[in-house]
Amino acid sequence: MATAARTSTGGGGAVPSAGKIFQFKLVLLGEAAVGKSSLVLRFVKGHFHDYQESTIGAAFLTQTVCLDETTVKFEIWDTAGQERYHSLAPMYYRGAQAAIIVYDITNHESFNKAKAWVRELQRQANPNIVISLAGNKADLANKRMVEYEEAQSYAEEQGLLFMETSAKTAMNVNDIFLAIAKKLPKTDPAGSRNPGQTVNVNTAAQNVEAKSSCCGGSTGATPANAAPTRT
Amino acid sequence: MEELPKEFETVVLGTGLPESIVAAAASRLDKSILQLDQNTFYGRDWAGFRLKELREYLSTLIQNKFDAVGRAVDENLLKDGEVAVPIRPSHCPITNFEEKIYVKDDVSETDIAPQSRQERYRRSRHFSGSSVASSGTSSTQGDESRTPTTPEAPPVPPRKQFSFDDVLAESKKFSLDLAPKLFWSNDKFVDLLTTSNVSRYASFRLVNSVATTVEGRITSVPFSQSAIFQYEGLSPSDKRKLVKFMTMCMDPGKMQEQMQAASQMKLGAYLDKLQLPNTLRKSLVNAVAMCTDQTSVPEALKRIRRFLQACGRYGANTSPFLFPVFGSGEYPQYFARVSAIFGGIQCLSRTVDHAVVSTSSNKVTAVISNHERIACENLVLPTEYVPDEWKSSNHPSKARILSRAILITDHSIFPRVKNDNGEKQACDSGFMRIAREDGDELGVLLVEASHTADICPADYRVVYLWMNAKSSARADLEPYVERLLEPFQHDRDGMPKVLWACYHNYERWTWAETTEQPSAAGDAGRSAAAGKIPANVRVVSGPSGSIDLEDVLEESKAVFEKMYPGLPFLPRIPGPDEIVLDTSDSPSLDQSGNKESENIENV
Repeated sequence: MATAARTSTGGGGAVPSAGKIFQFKLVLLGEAAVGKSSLVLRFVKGHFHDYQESTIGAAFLTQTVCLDETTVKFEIWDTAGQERYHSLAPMYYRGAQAAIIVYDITNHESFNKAKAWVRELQRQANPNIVISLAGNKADLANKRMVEYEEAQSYAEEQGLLFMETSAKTAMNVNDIFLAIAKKLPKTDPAGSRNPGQTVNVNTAAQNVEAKSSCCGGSTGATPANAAPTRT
Repeated sequence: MEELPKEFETVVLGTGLPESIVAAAASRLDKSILQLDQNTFYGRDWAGFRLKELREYLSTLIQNKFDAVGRAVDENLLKDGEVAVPIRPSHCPITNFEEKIYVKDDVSETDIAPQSRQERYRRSRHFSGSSVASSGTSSTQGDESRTPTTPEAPPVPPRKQFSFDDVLAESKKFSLDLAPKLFWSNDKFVDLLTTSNVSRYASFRLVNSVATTVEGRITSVPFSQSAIFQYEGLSPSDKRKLVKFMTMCMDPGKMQEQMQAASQMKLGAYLDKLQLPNTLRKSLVNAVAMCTDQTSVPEALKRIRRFLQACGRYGANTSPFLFPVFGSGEYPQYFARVSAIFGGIQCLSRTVDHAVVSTSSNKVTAVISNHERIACENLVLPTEYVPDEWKSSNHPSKARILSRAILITDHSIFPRVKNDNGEKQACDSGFMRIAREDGDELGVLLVEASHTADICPADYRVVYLWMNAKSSARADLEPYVERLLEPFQHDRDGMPKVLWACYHNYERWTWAETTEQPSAAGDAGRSAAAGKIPANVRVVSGPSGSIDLEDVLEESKAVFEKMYPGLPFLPRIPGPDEIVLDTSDSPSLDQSGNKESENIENV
């Protein structure tokens, strides 16, 4: 356990390092059953399940997006269902640099909820947070209750990134994460904090465990659909 | 809002730290958990607040919350042989809230009416040189001590001017804790965070200064054995004595004779024999052992050992303490999130109005919340919610009152510290223990942290002070505040200034579990035991004055083990990769310890 664990995590944002890897915390928000977890699972794993149970057990996932000269690693948090009783803990969006607010295009109420989440983030979250709005279930356009134009003009008004997505068909899923990755400021926040003194006790344990389990269960997991690598 | 399910295994009232740990541990084992809290926020007496919210909470808490009359019993929700017992806090644990604003609301007025306020923040002060070294507070460690006029001190821009409006405008950037805590780098709580994977949410700052006061001066305390030996003014014979002493601390088995001889002694008498330089001696007693001269030698040695063993875990000569980024108020939320991840339901702004007790078994069978009956097999609640009829002389609940202060200041009160490159820099978080003249064991504890821990904006520091109460929090702690920070009547350079202070007392009740544990058989046959707490009710306490969270961990674990004997307490949480629903192309559950999915690592 003598391994010195020194990483810059928490609210600090980008990690300046040799390969220019920037790590960001991204949170998902939106009414229950709009497809938050499905979007993430599609993005991270390339899976989709029609009858995805409500989220149990998934604390967070990570996924990496390569931009021109930088690599953006998203640490993606799911609500764990705490939104159902309006009891999402503020620690959830504390320190988040990006948020995807999801609504279901076949459910107008979920769009109203999305607007409420935008207000909540604008009030409570980090002022520089990059917020994007995702109108999910775009594959069900025949049941559409929220017009594209309505959502788009709202997003423009509020300065949000906006896309309609489908976790089922994968439409725009990678794209919305990529758009966020592009918009996130890749600045070095080291001036505001001395990274040498931030301790992540988890990393200490991982370093130790890594000796036996190497890269972990997802070794070689570079799924075909994984992070879009584009110019 | 969705309606709550009608049945849970365990209802947990409160979202304080022990409640949330218990909820997390139970949810982790797939027990169905409902966690309610009458507040709109997580954490109860462990909560963290922004500045505005804290002021509002503390100032409205005392008058409003505790005169609420309970709801009428919904008789139709009761079955035969059941009674409804009202559940509501019997008292408000927070009292004597006082706030002091040391900066003018509007700076421009200061010049016009300079006499209107005694505790005004002086404006035209220039700060030169190091932030802490000044006549009253300079460090005593040789080259550490500087005067504000030290030639190599870089020119420092004029001290930033604050008005209280400026401070309030940044309210969102503050994260102020009702119950500030530190972690020992190797303590059991940190172990739990790591093994349960709760630590993936958490990060820490190394506390980079530990200090005490010796004859009124702030004195840095050495972290490591080698630093202790390098202490200035140690003669070779002092060093020999110290070697012995340290060996006794670290390896008492080696020195059995000496241990035997010292086992009946008080630390003070023992150190008298050693004749160490006064500053070193005081540092050892006050800050390393965190005890008094009256503490027994074996106990003091244990404490010193603990301190030294926690040092250096994150690099050479690092202090034994970690300060939690975003403050301690996040921890109840972390555990509540773990509970949610495993299916637990949290519901704020909602409380238990009545416990439904079966008179034949003297067990709680359900709770009534907002006119709904929710069946449960266990009920966990904080001490102050325990209704009078469940208290008995066999359960002497004990109260201990703490005096607490939260300050916002403009500079560190700690001596400057050397960073990794050997350069001096302002301390970014520090711990200080000040001995009390009356020899109280706890002493006065002080924790300071900065924006590096994301608890305040860059121009400020947050300082917490607490001690066992002698009288009101302000009367107890203001003298220390005035000694450590700028006395506003004076205008000395280089002294950190306090901009805002708030004081409150916290009354902590602990629930003494009786030793008489009714056997299972006796339990069933027992008739309505008046004055007895129902057998399936567990009580948790509020935050203690202890610097760390180990007592909370112990309590939570004990509560959990009473409810679920023999079951593992918060085993490691599998990474998402290990629990993906689709089994076709994902790795099977891997016990070997991979933590999270990492899809592309190579760049």
